[in-house]
Amino acid sequence: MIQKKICLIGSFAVGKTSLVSRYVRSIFSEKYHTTIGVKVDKKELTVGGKDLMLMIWDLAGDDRFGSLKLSYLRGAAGYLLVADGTRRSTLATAVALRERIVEIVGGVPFLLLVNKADLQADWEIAESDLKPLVDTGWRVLRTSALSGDGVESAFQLLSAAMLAQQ
Amino acid sequence: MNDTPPKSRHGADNGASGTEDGLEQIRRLLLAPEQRGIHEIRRRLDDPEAHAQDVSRVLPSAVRLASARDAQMATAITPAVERALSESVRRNPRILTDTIFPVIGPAIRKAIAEAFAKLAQSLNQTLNHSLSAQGLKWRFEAYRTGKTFAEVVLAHTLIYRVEHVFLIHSKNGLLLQHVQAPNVTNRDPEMIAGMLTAIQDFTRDSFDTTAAEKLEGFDVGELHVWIENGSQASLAVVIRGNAPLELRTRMENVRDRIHAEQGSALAAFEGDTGPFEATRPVLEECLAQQVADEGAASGRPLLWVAVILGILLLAGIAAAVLKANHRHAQERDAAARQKREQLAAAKASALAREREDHAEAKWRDAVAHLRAEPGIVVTEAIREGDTYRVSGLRDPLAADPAAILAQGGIVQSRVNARWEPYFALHPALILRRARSRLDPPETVTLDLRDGVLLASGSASASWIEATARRAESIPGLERLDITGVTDETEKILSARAKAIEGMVISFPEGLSISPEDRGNVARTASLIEELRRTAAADGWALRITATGHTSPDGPERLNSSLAKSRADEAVRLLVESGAEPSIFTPLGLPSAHRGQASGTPGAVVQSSRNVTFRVTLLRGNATKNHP
Repeated sequence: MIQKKICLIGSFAVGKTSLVSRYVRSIFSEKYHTTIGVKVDKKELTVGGKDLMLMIWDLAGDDRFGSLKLSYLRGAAGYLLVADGTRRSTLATAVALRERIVEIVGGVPFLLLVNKADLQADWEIAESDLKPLVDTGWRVLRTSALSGDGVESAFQLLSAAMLAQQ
Repeated sequence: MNDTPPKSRHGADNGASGTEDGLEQIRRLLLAPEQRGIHEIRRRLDDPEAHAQDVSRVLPSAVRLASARDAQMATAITPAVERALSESVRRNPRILTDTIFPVIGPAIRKAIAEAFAKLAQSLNQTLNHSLSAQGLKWRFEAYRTGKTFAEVVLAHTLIYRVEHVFLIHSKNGLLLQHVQAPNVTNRDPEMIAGMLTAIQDFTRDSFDTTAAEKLEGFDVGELHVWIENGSQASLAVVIRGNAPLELRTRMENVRDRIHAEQGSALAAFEGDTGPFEATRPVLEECLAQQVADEGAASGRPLLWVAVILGILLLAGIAAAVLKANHRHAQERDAAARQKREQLAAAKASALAREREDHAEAKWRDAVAHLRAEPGIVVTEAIREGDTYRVSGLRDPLAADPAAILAQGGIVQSRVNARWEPYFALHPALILRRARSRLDPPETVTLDLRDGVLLASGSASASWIEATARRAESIPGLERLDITGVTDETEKILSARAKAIEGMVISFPEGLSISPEDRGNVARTASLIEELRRTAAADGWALRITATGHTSPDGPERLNSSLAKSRADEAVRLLVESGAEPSIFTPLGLPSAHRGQASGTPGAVVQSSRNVTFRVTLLRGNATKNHP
């Protein structure tokens, strides 16, 4: 089985952990986020006929406050940037984080997940905000931790991209 | 290019020659560039400098390509590298030392630290067991088998089992391979490997360590996680129990073997763990375990532990009992002491109270006596502890207040007394004042009745006269009744004269009086002077004849002189004692003539060596010899 390390990263309270909690296997407590700043989960899936095991490093914190330990990104084969559709600032943070991540892991595959799709009416992030990113090659998905919409697709897309790059 | 036209055929030779030239020309035309190129190549091959420049351009790429293809390059350059290193060390060892120190230094430190840790562990175990019965048994075993005692101790006491072995990729924390001991719970080794890596990163970030310094293990209860970090993969083992440090060495060897055998696969790892199946046998070498000897592990040590615990328990109980007894005794002593102190305090308090009451009562009694005393009026009497303050009025003739207080037990030195004088009208004081002022003779009795002083008895005329005058100024005395006093001046004077004539001054030898007669002289002088004043007050004059006597022995003439001298001496002594000299008439009368001079029986004395007196009272012009 092929293993890949991926990271889940984004602003504080964008719903990273909620987003994946229903789709991953976890043996570690949420306390790890507040103690060592990361929690490692596992997700197994099949992509293009290949069995894949994703080791998901769910990184806590926000780079703005220095609580994010970017060293945890080391060795990642891909990552999911998560933003909150109801908070425009989280998109800017995601963009900034992307630059920092590239410095550490290089141009590995990634996806931008704009979460809280179930609250579309309250969104501050407009299509026009995302278009410039899409134009530069970003792949953007709308997800909902509440309904689960887009989550499985996100893992599938990222895995496919990682396997393709391999 | 030569454009010369071909020559005409002058003949066959000429024709052939011309053809060759033409071919030559064509050849030159066609091959000249290649020939120049070949010439250039030859020149560069023949010129070492130019050749070296050419090779230097391609050498790095050639080495890289060759190294990537197979191990031939490494094999080829190894002797040269070895010689180069050898030559470098020979020439200047410092260069190579400085170069490899960053690598070799930490490795040496680590090796030394581990060696010391092993030594410490060995010593600890040895000390722990050296004095027990089991230790003695193991010493015998060491002697029998030829092993060191430490080795035997370690062999018997280390009980452990390696439950899991993880091979983890150093870069991304992915689990490359995992083996575990039989019957051990398996809890998702991939996630454990990930979190182990996360914890490694966390400790490195948190404590600012270098990349080479990584977490080497941690303990959780009886579980110990040991980690051997490698450049590309780390080996982590989970141990239950107390493993020997030799396991570390084994882990290092396994790690190094895997790096050597799987170096390429590790470097190229992209997530496919398949190639690392081959590492399982190597990893299983780390699944070591040590089972303790049953007897050593469970039997006797427990017995010894039980015995020691029992002794300690008994000692503890004994200590507790002793301590309790000691505490109880202390408490009892303390209670008794407290009781004694309380009793002593109560006794002292009662004594103090008693003393206080006694002192107060004594003071009150004394003051009561003072108040009862005629002529004393107490206006203030205060006791302040053991000092006293008293003040009031006091008749000068009243009793001494200090003496009254002293009779009551009040120490005079502690009394601050202040008395103002006054005349008391108490009858006793009036009578006392009258006696003091009137100075009555013994023959007169004074009494006071209703403010009237009654005088009775006999007295001289002068006293009677003086008393009537003095009584008027005595405070408190209303009147003097002196009718009861008869005038007996002559009788009084005669009685006193008789008393003087009864006095004798002895001269035991010569002109010296006996020591006991010195008082006799003073008394005689006092009587004489008193009589003289009394008689003078009443208009009488006094003459005294002092007669000296001798013993009958000796010549009469000498005795007469001696008698006169003794009379003179007696007069001198009397005058010296205060008697008026003009009233004396000294006279010598030897014994042969005793009685002739005085003619009275009173002149006869027991001892003839003395001086006797004869008194003569003269009233006005009349002379009265006494009696």
